[in-house]
Amino acid sequence: MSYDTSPSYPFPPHHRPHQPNQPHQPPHRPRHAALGRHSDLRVLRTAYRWQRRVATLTALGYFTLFLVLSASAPSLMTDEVADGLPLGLLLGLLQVPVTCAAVALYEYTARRRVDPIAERIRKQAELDTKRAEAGR
Amino acid sequence: MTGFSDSAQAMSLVAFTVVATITLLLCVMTGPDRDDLDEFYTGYNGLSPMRNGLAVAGDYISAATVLGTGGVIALFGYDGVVLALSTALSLMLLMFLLAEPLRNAGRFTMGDALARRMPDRTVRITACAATLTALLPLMLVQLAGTGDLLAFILGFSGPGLKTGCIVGLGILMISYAAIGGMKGTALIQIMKIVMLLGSGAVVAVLILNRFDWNLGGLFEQAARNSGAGSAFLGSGLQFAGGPSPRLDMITSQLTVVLGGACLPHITMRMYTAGSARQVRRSMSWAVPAVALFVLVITVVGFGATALIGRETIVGADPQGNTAYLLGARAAFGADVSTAESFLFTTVTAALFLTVLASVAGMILACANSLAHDVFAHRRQQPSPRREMTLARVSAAAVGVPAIVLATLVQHHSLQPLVTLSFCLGASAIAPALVYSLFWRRYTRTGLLCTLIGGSLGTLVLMTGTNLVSGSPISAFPDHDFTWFPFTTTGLVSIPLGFALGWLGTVASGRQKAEEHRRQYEAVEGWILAGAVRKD
Repeated sequence: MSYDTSPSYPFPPHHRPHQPNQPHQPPHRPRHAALGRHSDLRVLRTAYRWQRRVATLTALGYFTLFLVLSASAPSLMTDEVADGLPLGLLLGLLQVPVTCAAVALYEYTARRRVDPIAERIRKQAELDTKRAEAGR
Repeated sequence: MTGFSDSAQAMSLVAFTVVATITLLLCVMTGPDRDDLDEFYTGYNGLSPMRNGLAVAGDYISAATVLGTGGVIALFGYDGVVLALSTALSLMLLMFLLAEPLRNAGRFTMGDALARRMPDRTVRITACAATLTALLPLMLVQLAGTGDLLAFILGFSGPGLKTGCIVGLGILMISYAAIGGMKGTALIQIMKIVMLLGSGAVVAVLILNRFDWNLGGLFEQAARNSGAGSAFLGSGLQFAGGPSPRLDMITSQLTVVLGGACLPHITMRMYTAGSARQVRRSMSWAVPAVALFVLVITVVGFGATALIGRETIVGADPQGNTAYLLGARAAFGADVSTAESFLFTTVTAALFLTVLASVAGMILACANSLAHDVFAHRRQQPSPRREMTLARVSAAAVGVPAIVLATLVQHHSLQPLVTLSFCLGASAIAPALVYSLFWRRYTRTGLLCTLIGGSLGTLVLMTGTNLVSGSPISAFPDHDFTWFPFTTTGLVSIPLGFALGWLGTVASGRQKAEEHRRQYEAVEGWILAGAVRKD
């Protein structure tokens, strides 16, 4: 009755007959050490890459667009949108709240997507070190 | 009316003495314990994200930013606002792209971060050399500018007294770095940013209040008094005169965006956070703090021009470096009450603190790199106690030549030196960090090519720019040997830095690249997830 060690075993009882097919396998050995970590790392790499690229390119892209507009369409940027307030300066000053919003969004997505994976890898690495120490 | 009244000067002198005393006392009280190397290099490992973030913002908003950018806004309007925005964006990019892996890879210095995957003494020494080359110009600017600022506020006029100010302040800054380490300077940076933002926000509110909270009215009045009319509110005033002003403007601002936050005295604060998540949360405080300061300095800069006019600002300092101060004073109006003069004294005290803290941070970054990367990684490693003494001696070894050089350059235009620092950050340090943190095949040769080639390319190109000769604000205004007619070297040197890294990697052959790829994969878990807590 090896499965009894995990109380929240999700499979319905009729899967039990499969168990005797591999009776000598110790629980969790090879899966964890090698394969698990590497695929986790790949997932983390992809998640980070996605997040970094989108965030960086959006920020840089918006600012470069702003610069190009300032340089090449000065008449558009000096148009007054409100009384005395030129469009260019308004767009510029709007970047301040946009910056704060972008930071908040980055923090939120990182917490949801990246942190759990990184946490898992860290735990795994700790476990590995402990195991290596115990084995010595 | 460029000087201050006697009573204002007396109060400023008192403020300065108080600031200098309290900060020095704080450094002594909070300085690290005898042999705790981690404490000296990274300060409190568990500094809360808010405090750490404020310290980052404090390090980031240097005196050159407050005084220099304030001046550019007051003199050139729109272009100055864009410069301030570039500065804020740079820190945001650092947060998005580099902060977390940098924290995971590094320990104390940039050399640590680069040597994480290429453990090699040459890499460390080159990293230290790049750190020193990039920060020395910025230190000179702050030191020399400080002499001017102090002389202006306190009403000293003789050149001997200015030199005396530079030497005295320089020694004060070295003591901060040597006594306080990261721990002491973190506290000073927090104090500085709080005072600067607080007093600046009050001044900005007062200025807006004088224009009945009508931003348009403030801009119009500033344009009327700027001598440039409506061109003040559009791009191009600062870069007019060159052969391709538009391209010049775009590359200059992008150089600031790429280089500003990569400078080692900022990245060194990334290592002080306890984990990657902490670093992210710290930056979530730092970036809005800097963004808020952009608003403050925009209002104060425009306010200075609107209230007292361009002539007075240029009369006080041709670069407009005193515009922030003049704007703050003008905000209080002609007759000041006691409360108002107290507030103004707070503004000057915040500026003193800014000046003192920013150079101390840079000296610390250089000294740490010198002690940790060059001296501590010889064949036999020194004991922690000895390394800490080394770091303290290094602070003096970096600071004293900086003071001597600052007294020599004080009569030249300082703008080229600021630009030089940003260009070096963008063309050598930024590519090296991006490649070594994210490119798996990046080799040691590639890294050395980026750091050395990028720096040398920038230095060579710099001699041909408008800022060194041929324009009234250049270092040698009487000569004209311009051969690269731009304000920054970024147009060529940034692609050069990235290309050299790529070429160096390709040139070192497939086998080497594979070897480095394996080395990178071995540490990828550390860099991305912070899997193992460092060494």
